[in-house]
Amino acid sequence: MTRTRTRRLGFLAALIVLIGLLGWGAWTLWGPKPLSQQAFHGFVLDPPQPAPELGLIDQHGQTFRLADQRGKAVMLFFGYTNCPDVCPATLIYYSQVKRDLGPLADKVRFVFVTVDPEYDTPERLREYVNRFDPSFYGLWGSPEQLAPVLADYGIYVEKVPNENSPVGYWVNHTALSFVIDPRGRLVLAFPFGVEPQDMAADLRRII
Amino acid sequence: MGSMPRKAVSVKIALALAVLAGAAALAWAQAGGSFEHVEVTGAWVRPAPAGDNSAVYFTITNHGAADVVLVAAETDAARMAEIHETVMEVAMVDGRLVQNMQMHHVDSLVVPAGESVSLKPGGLHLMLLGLTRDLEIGQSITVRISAADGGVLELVVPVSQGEPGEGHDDHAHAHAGHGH
Repeated sequence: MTRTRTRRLGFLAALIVLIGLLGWGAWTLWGPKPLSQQAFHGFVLDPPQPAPELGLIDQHGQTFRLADQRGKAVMLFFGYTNCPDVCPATLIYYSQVKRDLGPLADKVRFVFVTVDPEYDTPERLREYVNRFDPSFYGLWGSPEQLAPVLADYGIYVEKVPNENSPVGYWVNHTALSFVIDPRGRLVLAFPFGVEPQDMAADLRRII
Repeated sequence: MGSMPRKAVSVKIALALAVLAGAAALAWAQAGGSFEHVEVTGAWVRPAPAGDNSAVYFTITNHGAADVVLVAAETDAARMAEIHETVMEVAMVDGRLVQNMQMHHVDSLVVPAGESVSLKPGGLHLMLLGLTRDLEIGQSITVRISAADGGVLELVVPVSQGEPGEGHDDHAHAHAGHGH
């Protein structure tokens, strides 16, 4: 009687250990991994850094702070409204990312920051953003407000004079999309050209 | 002494004949046009308000035996049209990822015989500088592209955001015309 019970207990213990081992194995194989060990379509910024604050004016005249966006991921792009090629292409991609995410898109803020504050205004940014999606943010700051933000994110901006351009120049600039996770950390950067569904796939794993 | 002027005259005639032959060849080239064997597909232009810049995209395929060299463009919708190329560079600087986007003016764009060249976002595009009117989805603009040999290709390009199924698979209405 006791012998059978001891044997049963021993069997149970072995079973628990086995389940434990299987579970540990599965966790190791399929459980969450550090970002750097996961396959993303964007460049992984590892270790994630706290995202530098923006503190700029949105198209409705409100101050946009990353600190107020906790719980949401932020897709961040720097450009200018008169940009003929890459900026509108990026915002079209963002609208496709948003569509691809479906209801999950509520957890993502799409943000466009001007690198040309002399020409762009919050009003112009509102008109611009509305061409793509009115839920996107278009941020403006005075040159003095913008300078530290551009430096923090390593954004290169160079005005190239061109007499044929309506404003007399075009702007060469960094065309990365930055991803800030719901904890306010800079985790990914997409080079221009990553397909919307691939950006959406990466975002799903972050939000 | 008398043979010299005669020789000069015959040289002149030969030169004149050569010039005539050259002119005839040029006329033929213009009539046939370097665009005779060229096909343009998937053309679209980005919507933007008057005064802003925009860009035209398309794929051009040269089915002919000779290269086609695009040298200029003009449109009814902007003050100026120029072929531009966006070039991206990604680099690590001081441990940070930096990507620069540079846009360059392209003086001439070669479409090699038997090959296609795609003008697409983030690469080659026909930049429209200073739109003379609002470009709204559903409208279209006319673009005339000139080749080095004087041939002109006229395109009717729909205004689109370039999303899949919107102008991507449609053939643009194109026809080759004579020089200016």
